[in-house]
Amino acid sequence: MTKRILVVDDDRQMVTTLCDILGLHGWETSRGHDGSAATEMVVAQELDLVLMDVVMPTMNGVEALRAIKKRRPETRVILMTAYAAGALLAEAEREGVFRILAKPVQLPNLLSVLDEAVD
Amino acid sequence: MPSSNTPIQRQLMTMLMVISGLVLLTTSAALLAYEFVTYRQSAVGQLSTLGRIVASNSTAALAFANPDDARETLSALRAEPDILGATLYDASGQPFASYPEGRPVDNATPGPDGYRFEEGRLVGFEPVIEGDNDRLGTLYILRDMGALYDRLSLYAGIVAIVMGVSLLIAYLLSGRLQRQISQPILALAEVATAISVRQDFSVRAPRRGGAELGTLTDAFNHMLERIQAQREALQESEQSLATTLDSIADAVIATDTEGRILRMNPVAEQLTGWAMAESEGQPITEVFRAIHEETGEPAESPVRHVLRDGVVVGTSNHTALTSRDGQTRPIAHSGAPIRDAQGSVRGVVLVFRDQTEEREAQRMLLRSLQLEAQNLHMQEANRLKTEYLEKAVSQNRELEQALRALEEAQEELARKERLAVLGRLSGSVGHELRNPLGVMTNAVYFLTLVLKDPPEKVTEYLGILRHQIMLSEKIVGDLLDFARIKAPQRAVVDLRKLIDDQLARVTVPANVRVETRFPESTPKVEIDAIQIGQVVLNLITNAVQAMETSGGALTITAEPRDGSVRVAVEDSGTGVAEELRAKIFEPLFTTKARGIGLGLAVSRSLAQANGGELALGRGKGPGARFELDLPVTPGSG
Repeated sequence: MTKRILVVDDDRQMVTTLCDILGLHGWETSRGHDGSAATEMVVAQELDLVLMDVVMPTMNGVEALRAIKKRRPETRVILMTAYAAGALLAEAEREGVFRILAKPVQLPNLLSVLDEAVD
Repeated sequence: MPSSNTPIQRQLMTMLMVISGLVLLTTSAALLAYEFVTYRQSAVGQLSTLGRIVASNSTAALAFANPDDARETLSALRAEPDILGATLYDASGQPFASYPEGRPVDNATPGPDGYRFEEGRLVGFEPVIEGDNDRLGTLYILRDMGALYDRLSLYAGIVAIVMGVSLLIAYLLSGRLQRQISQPILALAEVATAISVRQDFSVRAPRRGGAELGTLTDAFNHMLERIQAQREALQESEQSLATTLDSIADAVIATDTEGRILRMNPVAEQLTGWAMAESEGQPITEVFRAIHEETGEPAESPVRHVLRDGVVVGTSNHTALTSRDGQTRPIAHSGAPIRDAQGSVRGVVLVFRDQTEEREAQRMLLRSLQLEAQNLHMQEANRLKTEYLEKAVSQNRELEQALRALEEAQEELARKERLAVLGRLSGSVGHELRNPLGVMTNAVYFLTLVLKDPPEKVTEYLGILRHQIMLSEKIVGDLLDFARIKAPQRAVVDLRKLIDDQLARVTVPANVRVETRFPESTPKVEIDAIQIGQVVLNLITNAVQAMETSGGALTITAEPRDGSVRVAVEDSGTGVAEELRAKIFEPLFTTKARGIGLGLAVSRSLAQANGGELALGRGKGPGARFELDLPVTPGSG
């Protein structure tokens, strides 16, 4: 069974490279570039997993997480962040984030966390 | 006996010889006397018997007045060779007949009856009696005693030989026997001589001889012991006295009752100019020449004064002492009699001291008092002036201090402002760079995965990209660390484990030797392990880099101090140049070709955030030594 993941980052090339790498590891990937679009995509498509940056324009990752959890609570969301902004991350924990990864993301680490999330 | 005999040996031998000689002599004399007496007695007995026989035989011749018969009778005396002569007197006392014939008559008339010795010969007058009481005449008979004297001289000769032999034996025996007595005495005498010559009371006489001499030797040795002990005590006491005298700051001279010097201490030597050795026995007036200070005339010797009056004398003014080299200095002195246990004066002790400084001090005091008086009013005037000036100066100083504090505060503010701006800038630049670096990492990762059998160059260049991205990430990391130093999450940490963990993260080149020294129980510190770990890692990395080409030793020590523990990281590289020491903790300061110079600034900030301090120390060698002080958790070892 194919594992489906939505990768969301305002940096398009980040999304591209991540999706290509995940594709090589057998993931079926979708791409998003802001929080609201990502929320729509989660609702529209059947997705196992969302990998999302926290700092994004218009709607940040934590707000998107809240929206996704409201519409599709079973969706597992992994957040990536370069900041150690305590308050925001604490909110993400409360909203049911599956894991928060620190940027720069180490790819082998990312892959094992994703595998763990779809088990 | 050898001639080296000592007097006592000779005396003993003489005594023995005299005694044995006397004994022998007495014995011999007694023998000779006995012999003499008995011989004479027997001679008298023999002669009287002979006289009676001849007298009895002569009665007829006399009775009948027949001289021929009488001569015939007398001639029978020929049988006795000792009989020198004989005369027969008739009743009227006229010689009647003689023997030998024609021998002149010795006595014109007969002597009294009886036998006696006359001129070494035995003379006897025997009455010629017929019947009961009819005296017919007198027989005179003379006997030679030469045989007796021959006999006696033979005896004397024998006695002399016996005595000679006996005395020789006595001499030889006494030579041996006298040693039993003389040897222990001589040994004692030798010891006594040794003592008197060498003054060595530690020698002891060997115990020889019988009970009395042994006792004498023991008593002598015991006496020696006591003398030695007393002598030592005396020497000690003498030494103690000498030390005391030498230690006294005043000059001390002791004299006998004649005023002659017995001893003096070094201060006295110095003041008089006489050495103790020279002055001993000298009259005190020769050495201690006191004069009247003003007149210069000789003052009375205090020693003489004491000896005359038997009292303590002393002066402190107007006396001066002229030393041997002619130098005169004012002195204060006192003299006191030395009395023995019975209270009689045995000498004088004279104590004196140099008054030059006191006089000078007195003069100075006087002078200063005068000056003070003169200056009093001037001082009052000055005081007002000074007070005013002091106030002005003090105000000025306060102003200066305030200005300096203000400048410092401004500087601090400016520095903080600079740091804050730098921090914000660092944070923002760090974040902005982190994303692109992430994308680049992903791209390289992707390419590495998708390229099947890439050309060698492509693989090499992908490696270069990966390496450069890693370097960039390190710089970004430093920037971000500097930008946001978080509040430390403190927990009790084993410092040793923390350091070991950081050491494990560093690749140490083979030419760098790592040495760690920790106390047996590492103190526990309450710190943010990640932050302090970062500081330690930074210090280790810097140290290793400093020795990258040269090699050397990296020494990490932790030593407990008062209330803190000091972690020192020392390398054996070229060290920090003196002029750079003050700057190395400034942000953006770096000596490396690469790097933005935030490592030490961040490390110091992290150390301070954890209640500690990071400083550049001075090591034993020329290399750099960084000292990280961390507060110890109260109650931990």
